[in-house]
Amino acid sequence: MGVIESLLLGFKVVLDPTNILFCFIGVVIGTLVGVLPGIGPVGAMALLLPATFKASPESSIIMLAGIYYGAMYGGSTTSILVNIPGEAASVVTCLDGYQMARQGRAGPALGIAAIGSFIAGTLSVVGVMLVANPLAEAALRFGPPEYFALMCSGLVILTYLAQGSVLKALMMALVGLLLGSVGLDIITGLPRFTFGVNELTDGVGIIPLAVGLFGISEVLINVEKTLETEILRTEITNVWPSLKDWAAAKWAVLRGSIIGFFLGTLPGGGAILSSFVSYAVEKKISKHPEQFGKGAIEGVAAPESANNAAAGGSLIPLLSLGIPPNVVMAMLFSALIIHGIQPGPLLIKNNPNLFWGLVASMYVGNALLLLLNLPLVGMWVQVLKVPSRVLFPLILLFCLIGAYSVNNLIFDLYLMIFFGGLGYLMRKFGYEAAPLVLAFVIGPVLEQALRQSLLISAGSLLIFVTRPISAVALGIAFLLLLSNLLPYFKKYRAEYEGFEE
Amino acid sequence: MKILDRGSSLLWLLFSLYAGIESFRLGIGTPTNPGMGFTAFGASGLLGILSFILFWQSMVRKGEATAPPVFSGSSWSKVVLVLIAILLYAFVMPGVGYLLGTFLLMSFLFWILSPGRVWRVLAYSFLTTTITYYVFAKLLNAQLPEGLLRF
Amino acid sequence: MKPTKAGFLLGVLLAMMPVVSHGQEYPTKPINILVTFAAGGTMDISTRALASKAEKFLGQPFVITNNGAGGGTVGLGIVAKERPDGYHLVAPTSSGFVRIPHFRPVAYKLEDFVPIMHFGAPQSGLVIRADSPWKSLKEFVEYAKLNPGKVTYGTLGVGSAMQHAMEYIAKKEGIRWTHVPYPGSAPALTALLGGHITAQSGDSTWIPHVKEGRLRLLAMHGDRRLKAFPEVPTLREQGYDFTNETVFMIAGPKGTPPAVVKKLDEALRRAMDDPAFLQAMAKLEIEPSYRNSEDTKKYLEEAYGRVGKLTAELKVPRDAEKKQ
Repeated sequence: MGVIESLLLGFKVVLDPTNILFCFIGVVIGTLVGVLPGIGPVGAMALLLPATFKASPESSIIMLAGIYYGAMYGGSTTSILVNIPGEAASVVTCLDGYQMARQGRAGPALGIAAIGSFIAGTLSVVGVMLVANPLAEAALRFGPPEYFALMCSGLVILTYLAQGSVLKALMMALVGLLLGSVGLDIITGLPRFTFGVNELTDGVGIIPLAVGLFGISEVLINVEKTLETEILRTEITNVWPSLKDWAAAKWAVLRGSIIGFFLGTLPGGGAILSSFVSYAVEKKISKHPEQFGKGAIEGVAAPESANNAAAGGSLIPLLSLGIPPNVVMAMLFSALIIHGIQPGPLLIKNNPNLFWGLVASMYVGNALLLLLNLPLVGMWVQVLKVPSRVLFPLILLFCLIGAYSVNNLIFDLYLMIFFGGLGYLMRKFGYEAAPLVLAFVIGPVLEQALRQSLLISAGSLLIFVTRPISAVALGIAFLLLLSNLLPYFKKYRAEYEGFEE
Repeated sequence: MKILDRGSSLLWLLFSLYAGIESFRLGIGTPTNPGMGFTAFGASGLLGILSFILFWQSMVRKGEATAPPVFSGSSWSKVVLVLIAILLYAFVMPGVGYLLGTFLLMSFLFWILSPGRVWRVLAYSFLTTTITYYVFAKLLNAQLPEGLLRF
Repeated sequence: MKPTKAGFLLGVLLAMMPVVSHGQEYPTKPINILVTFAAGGTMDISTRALASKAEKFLGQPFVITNNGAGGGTVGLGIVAKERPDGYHLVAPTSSGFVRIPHFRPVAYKLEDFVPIMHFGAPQSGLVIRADSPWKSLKEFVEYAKLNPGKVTYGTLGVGSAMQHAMEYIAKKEGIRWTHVPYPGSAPALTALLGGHITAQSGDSTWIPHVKEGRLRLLAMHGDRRLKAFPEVPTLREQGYDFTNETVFMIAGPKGTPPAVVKKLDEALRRAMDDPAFLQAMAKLEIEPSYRNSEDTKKYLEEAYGRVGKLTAELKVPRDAEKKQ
């Protein structure tokens, strides 16, 4: 059966009225949980899972997948409007998205996020359709040393996120690594850095951390200024991305999609990592890198495309190997098991209806999401017309509810307030939060990969350079670090010499 | 920034020393068998070095000699009040329940940002509290503390 | 403040009073289960299958998350410190209670938990890639003997029965091979498929891959052969006196009310009769096996002593990691 015939079969499945309805419900719920901080796709899928048992396997998988990529659509909204990442994968969207909103360009930012997500989602479906099997095999080539090398490149890439001092960005990354090691040790299961606090046994939560550092600190900075100006009262210039915006963003969308799709296939935080990487790539190759962090539309387009493409990419290990790469995929996995379908190498052959139905549903779902989200842009932009004396208390409340509702833990509130205060001070002293959050996310993956690699190699560091993939990745990381640090040293030397004279 | 860097880099240096000592106590292990503190020790060591570089730079680099006004000219006392308010909220909310706790917090926040309009402040707080309660607790099934009635 | 304002304020405060219907029975909200191994392994699959079928007896969904670090001890350590309200459960294997504590310090005790029930006995075995040159356990062991330190094997954690099976063989044959812990049988399986480790000593998550011909099964750890691969002998049949005896269980933190335990126990036991659950178990050849709360507790206490005695006889080093 050729791809075209198979796809036609898939569309026959998805155009069944019941399946279309399930797809629609899925993407609507996904958008909603994406917009609201705290309640993520996992919670929403768990609550809806029982409702799908009576439906056919196709319907339930179509709906659950819809929630996931729908949430990736919605996650950007609060990042752009109020600097609160709705999803961990939208942290990096805060950097330029919120700046665009402050310049009255929330509309174009939201618009490009939706359009970029649509393009990326669609491209990733094409990818799933065409290269699922070879890609799954390629992902298998990534063992502990490769992961270690990849995560190291990730850490180096975050120095590109830095708007100010690279040195400070690296320092924040190390703080993030240290924060990421709080909790029970990944190999021995013994507590470390928990200070006897029971709630820290599970480590520091990503939501209290990210919402505190971005959302709360933003409110605090603005509270301080409210007497002087009503900063958000900027004129909203236009609601839609202009042709110029589009011209600037189109390649960012494409590159973001490709990066997101490939990184999404790797287990462990693929969506988050890909959003950071695509942002850094855009900044690196941009002709005007100085505009990043000050409202560059590419800085919104790339990460938002990447996290949507990663949602598609992460389906590949599940469908072709039967190995769920993240918690959301585990939910899909269990839905399949409950319907008596074994995900694994034989899934596509044994259940063509399901696989191709899912693929076709993602085309349809992405189109539905675009139709749903574009009209909403106009509505969201109105949020910014709310006077700041009303808006900021509301933002604080959303942060509080969001952080609380993840685990129903008051401790998470304290943690978030702590990070809010820390974030406020960090801004005052010129430290950035984004490198900290990224390092926090990849820290545990990095540590596990390092410790496993050293076990495999019996303590020899050579393992990282004798294996081709990890050697290449580390080499790139090193070159990137060098190219980023050189101008810094030069500048510093010039300054120092000036000082001598 | 120079003066600020001098202070903040010292703070991070202290932090890295502390984290380094703690992770050393956890056990670094050997390269063959890395221990619990292995990566944390490495990270805190690097952090220590980088903070020292920053500190050193702030000492030798030419630039402005005085600290720029970090807090002056801004109503930073409000920031402290807001922080205290949300801390208090976290402290009392489980006891008094979401609705009452949130109402009080929102009243305070609305009031501190535009004082003097008691009626409007109360009306806004009432609306936001009930609407968020309905959306999160009823529609999304989030578990918000019920509070007082438990006693 | 003018009386009208005070009255208004009072009215607002009254309106704030939450309306709670009293006497609502447990459960009134979704119940969390933390599976102590990564998603996609047998423990994860069977817990999800069980929970999904128990929901209809409780009227509330289960929210299942995974934390496979530390061979399951991280998940147990987390839930040991949770609120005992019946909404925070853990799905560990009995190994976390009866085996691992014999070998290394852990952040919890059996007394920190109330077992709710156990529902299945998994099968585990030793698998290698199908393109490896060794056709039998004997050939594999011969190679490992001649090439000390060359063979690496993955398991779902330090101190697991799967590691002990390997260390038992190593001890008996005088082999030195390297253990690489993964957060679950699914990640270990992925590593084996990718050729990053030589072998996997793991539970039956590998069945579809062996069937498909990508992996080769060398030996079973249990007391019987698998129905799917009746030609593959057990360790005991190949001269190694080792049997893996593990159960999959559900537990709550100490202090979970007895009524809640009873209700959960009942719902989960009834779910075990569901054909869909049984089918999911049969696919992975996990035997449904049930004990109620008290019997599970007794079983764990008894097994702790028994495994302790066995391991003392085996002389597996107490901290199995140290030796490497």
